[in-house]
Amino acid sequence: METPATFKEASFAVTGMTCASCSAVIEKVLGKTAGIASVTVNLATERMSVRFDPSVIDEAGIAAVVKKAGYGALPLGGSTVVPAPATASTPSVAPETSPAPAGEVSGTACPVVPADAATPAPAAAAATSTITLGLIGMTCSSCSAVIEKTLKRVAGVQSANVNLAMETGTVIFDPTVVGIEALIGAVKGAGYDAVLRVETGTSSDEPAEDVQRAAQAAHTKHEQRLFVFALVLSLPMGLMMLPGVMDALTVRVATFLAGTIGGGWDPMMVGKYIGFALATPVQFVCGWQFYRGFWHALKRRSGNMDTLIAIGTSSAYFYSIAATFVPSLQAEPVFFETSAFLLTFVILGKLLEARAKGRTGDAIKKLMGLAAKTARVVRGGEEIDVPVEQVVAGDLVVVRPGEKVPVDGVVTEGHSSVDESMLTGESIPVEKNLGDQVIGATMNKLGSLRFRATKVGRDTALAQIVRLVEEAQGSKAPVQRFADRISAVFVPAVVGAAVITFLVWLFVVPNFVDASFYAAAAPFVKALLAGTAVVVIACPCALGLATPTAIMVGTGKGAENGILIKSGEALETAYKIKAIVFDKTGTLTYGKPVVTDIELAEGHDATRMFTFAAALERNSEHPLAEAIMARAKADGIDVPTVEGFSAIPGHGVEGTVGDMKVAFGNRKLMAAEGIDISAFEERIRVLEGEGKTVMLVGVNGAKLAGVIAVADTLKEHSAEAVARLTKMGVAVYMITGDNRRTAEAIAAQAGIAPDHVLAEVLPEHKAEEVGKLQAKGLVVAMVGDGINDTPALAKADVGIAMGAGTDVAMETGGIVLIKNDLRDVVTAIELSRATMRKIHQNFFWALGYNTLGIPVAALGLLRPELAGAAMALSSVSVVTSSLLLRGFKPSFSKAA
Amino acid sequence: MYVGIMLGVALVTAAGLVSLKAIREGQSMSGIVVKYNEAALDVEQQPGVSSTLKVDRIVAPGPSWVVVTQVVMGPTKGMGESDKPAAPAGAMPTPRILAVVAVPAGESRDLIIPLDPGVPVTQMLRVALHADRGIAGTFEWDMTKFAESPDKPYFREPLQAVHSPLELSVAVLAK
Repeated sequence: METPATFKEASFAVTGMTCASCSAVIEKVLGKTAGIASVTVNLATERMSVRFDPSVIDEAGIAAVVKKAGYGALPLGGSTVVPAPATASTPSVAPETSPAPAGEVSGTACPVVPADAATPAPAAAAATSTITLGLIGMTCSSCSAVIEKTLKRVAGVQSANVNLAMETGTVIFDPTVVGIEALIGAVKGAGYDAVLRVETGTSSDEPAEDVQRAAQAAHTKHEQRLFVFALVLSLPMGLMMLPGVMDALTVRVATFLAGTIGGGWDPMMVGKYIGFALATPVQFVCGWQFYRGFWHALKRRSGNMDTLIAIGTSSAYFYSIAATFVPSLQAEPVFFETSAFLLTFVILGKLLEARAKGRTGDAIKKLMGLAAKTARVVRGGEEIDVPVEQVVAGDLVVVRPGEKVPVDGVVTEGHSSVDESMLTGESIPVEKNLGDQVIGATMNKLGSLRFRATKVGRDTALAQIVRLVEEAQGSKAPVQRFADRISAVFVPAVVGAAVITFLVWLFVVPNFVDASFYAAAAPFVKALLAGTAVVVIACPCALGLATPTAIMVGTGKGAENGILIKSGEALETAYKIKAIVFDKTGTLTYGKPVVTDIELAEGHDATRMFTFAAALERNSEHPLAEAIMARAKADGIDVPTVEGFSAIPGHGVEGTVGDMKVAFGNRKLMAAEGIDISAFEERIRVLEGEGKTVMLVGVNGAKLAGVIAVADTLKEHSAEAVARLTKMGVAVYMITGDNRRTAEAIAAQAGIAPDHVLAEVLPEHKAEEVGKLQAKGLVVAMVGDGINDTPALAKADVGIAMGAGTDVAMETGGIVLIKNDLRDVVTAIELSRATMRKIHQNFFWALGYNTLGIPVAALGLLRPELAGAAMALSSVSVVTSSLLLRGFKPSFSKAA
Repeated sequence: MYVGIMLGVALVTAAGLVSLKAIREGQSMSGIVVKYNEAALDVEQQPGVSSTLKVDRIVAPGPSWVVVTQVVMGPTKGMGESDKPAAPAGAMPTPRILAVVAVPAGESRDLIIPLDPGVPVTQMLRVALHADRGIAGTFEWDMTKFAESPDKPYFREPLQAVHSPLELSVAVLAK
């Protein structure tokens, strides 16, 4: 089959699913549909993600397939195109027109655009934004061509398309280079007018969350109405089950009927008629959804919860119909209350389950709640307040002290300090000046800022975090397949077990019991009740919820703690980690060398010596030089200029500072200068033994002024994290390209054993080292900053990427630590273990009800309606159990 | 939703109140309730009767049965005059049926009912009118399971404080 040029990916809100069988069915049905490349359905979030060929099928077609299968699917909008393999693009060509006097533009005569050579497509900018302008004054296609050409000439514009009929122009541009005002000005300069057409979200689609929420709310409301309806009709039947009430009430009613209508009324039959009148609406109004689901399942030759509920309620209901209206069976008891209460309990269970599931998504709601609601933008020279959804990239945004930064952007004016702790965990406010990036949802503290919006709506860092968490919540963990496999065979097995129970009760048990055993109910009735109870109690609906609800809460909890878990699989694998490999530079250490030691020779002072060193290093970009300059700046040293500067490769640098000839470098340079360093030899050795780089300052070719040691220091909590991991039974390794001595020195500080140090490893060999550990049978996690660690992160069983909140689109690694705190590695593993423990507990609850309930029901010790209540309770208890995971606290916070 | 809940509560409360009143008044029985004038049974006392019984008038609301049963006066010890098996000491023996005759709906007069010779005639016989509700033409009435039996006796409405079926006791044996 020819691979299509492009695929599209779309998300849908799915309604009507009740158990894992339903989600499996939808996946199976869509998987067989032409044009569908892949489909993932999540029962807990009630979302479906589909990758499809748009030339074969569209979103409406997909929704129709799902509807035919007996469920509802609502496209959530915002489908994305998955790019095809790169092909050569043809440059666009301006439309040909007849020649005319150049440069003449009037309001009445359309300008003539000379035939233009193909305009090469501009290079893709790092940031892009798309806006739509309303264009005024166009009269023909030449006008639209002029505007397009004008806009394309504006620096920062990548493309411009004008629609003459709709009088609109769509412009794709780099908002960091050009703003909306400039674009409008360019159009005006061409002799036309333009206004910004503001749209919410992408095109006219509502945000996906609102669409899904609306669909879910409508569905829940409908279920609530059904529940109340069922309850109102079931309660009187429940009342009639009380001894004395049934006789008394039915006699009263029979007497009333005889007195008013006439004829003979048997109170026993009246009771049956009352039951029929009350149970029938419940069976066919509230129960219709199960019959529909049963029918669709039957068509697919499969079974699900609907199958079991339909069979269970129907057996009780239709038998009761027979016992009411078939003369030969009128002596038999009826079980209308059984079918009615069963349906009532099942619907109640679904409602409670939906409500509890809604709370599993609380973390997402909390994250989304961080976003600002309004923004102050400059439009038409005026500052106006607009809903944050109406901010477009390119807008000039104003933020005053104490206000939330509404969207992501780049500072164009002003300076302030911004509290970014809610996203990056950085507790100290970060200084923001011209050109600095600001992140939406952070809090502006002291100054006022103006910035150009670069990312709005779904593109902001916060929205990306939310999307990552949602995707993780929607992903399937491998353990879910266990539940799916069980569910697939469970229903037919349960129906078989129920049939066997019925037959045994009907044909075998009577041979072994006294006739008095059947005083209260005939063998057929007892057999029917036992079989129905088996069908109902064995329903595996809770099993389908066991994993996704725990994953939802677990990933949400992770997000609250600055740990973004990108998939259920990553969450599941993390708990099995037995070895963890830390990259050194930037992960275990800060990645920036700093001055750690200053040793002075006699008669010299630190400031003067440092001044010499800084003067020589001021123009160098070497990390060591940056460390010197940073310290000089911190100490407020005024760095003088150097004369006669020269760099000696492998030795150091030298020059004249003021009236002093200064040499700054290693031992070799001092030896070449004839400077005696013997007094400091021991100290130098000690410092080098600590993994530090030692630099010597010599003056006038005769004396050593002092020693400066520079090192890339261990992060504050690295040693703590390593100690905790070791205590957890995880073997900790360090991998670096540095030399062994430096590596071991850092490892020693971090608490990593020398034989666990993988030093002098080239970046391209890091993945191999991870593979070697995996070959020993260990589940290996790799922790890195994601830049040159990508192959190793991908090779590891779990890749953990350290990242700041502004760049969460790290494709490598299953877990992203926003806060750059290595203790979060411990937290991630603890969270994974807690989540997996919860999943196993949920399986226990889910299967426990079934395992204990089936024999009890088969022995005839469980009435069907109580079986229904127990089954509903199992779903609720699984979801509630998952919600308990919200109490998870990282061990570090407990210690603090 | 709240309206529905209120309605349900009202319905249950009403049913409960009705039931409570009925329970207090002891209105519990197992029979077919009919309007007073829709069922009637007239039987004269017939001393000396042993093989047949005459029923003067029957008004049946629908297909019915005229049922003649023994009247057993208290527990017996050991074998009595009847040839039925001795009941356990202290237990009320179950009255036996002497005759079951189908009658159509409406009025019937002067019905002569043959009595089962195999069943001893007690001093008093009870004549009752039962409905034919189950399988038509089959008398389905089990004294030990009267609540479940379809062919129950008629009770005429308005029901009295102590419910009584439509039946008469007829003295048949000579003193």
